Amino acid sequence: MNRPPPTFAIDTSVNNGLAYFEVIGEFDARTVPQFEAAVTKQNQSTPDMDFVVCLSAAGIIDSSALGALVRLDTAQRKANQSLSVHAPRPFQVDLLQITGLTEILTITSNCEHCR
Amino acid sequence: MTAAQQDSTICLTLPADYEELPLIRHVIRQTLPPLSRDQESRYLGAITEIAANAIESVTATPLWPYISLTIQLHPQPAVIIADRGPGIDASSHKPTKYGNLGQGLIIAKAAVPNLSISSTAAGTIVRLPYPLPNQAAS
Repeated sequence: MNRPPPTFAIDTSVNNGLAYFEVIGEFDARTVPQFEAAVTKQNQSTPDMDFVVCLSAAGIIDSSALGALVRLDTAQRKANQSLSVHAPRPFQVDLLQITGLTEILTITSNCEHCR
Repeated sequence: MTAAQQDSTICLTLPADYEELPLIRHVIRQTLPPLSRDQESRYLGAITEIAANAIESVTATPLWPYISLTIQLHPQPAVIIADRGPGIDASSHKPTKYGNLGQGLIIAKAAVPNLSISSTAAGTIVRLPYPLPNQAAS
């Protein structure tokens, strides 16, 4: 059986003092390290920025991915920076509510950076 | 990977490795009827949670470091994921011994409320009935 093609990418950009990470594809235990590596790389090249993580193109989000978002939020707070998570799809809203993360993370339903 | 296909069931034995998660989702997409975009995200998200739990479970007990994926096509489509890990307490959503497995089960149950879990000290079997296209998933 042929392996499926790669199903994950991170599109990173910086605009007006904001670092923007668009998560594309399947955000799970396998791809969390790629996400965290992209964030670390961005932090090293341009430290002390507010972050936006856009999940509108993420078709799969699991508890490992949610854990990564919580860790990033904690790190941003410690650095006196912010994290906004753009999660517009119904399954994403449900997921964040089920896990109680709507009480912890800053969630937005629209994002000026979205395609 | 070993595979055996019968008339109505596809069985795969896969290494207990997160690298297998895309393959698991791919096989399900290829063999079961298409769902709406949101239904697919919910169902495959639940599959991902259960498969990741199974992988984590057997990684901690490496006597048989594999998980099995069974796709039942008829009469009622369903996906069954099994492992030979130390088992979970399905009523409390807590692991018996290893890791932080509880949150994934809660998420999976929210997405597929009629999933069933059979777990003993010899392993865990989770059956996730496949939703009918356009059937509400939650």
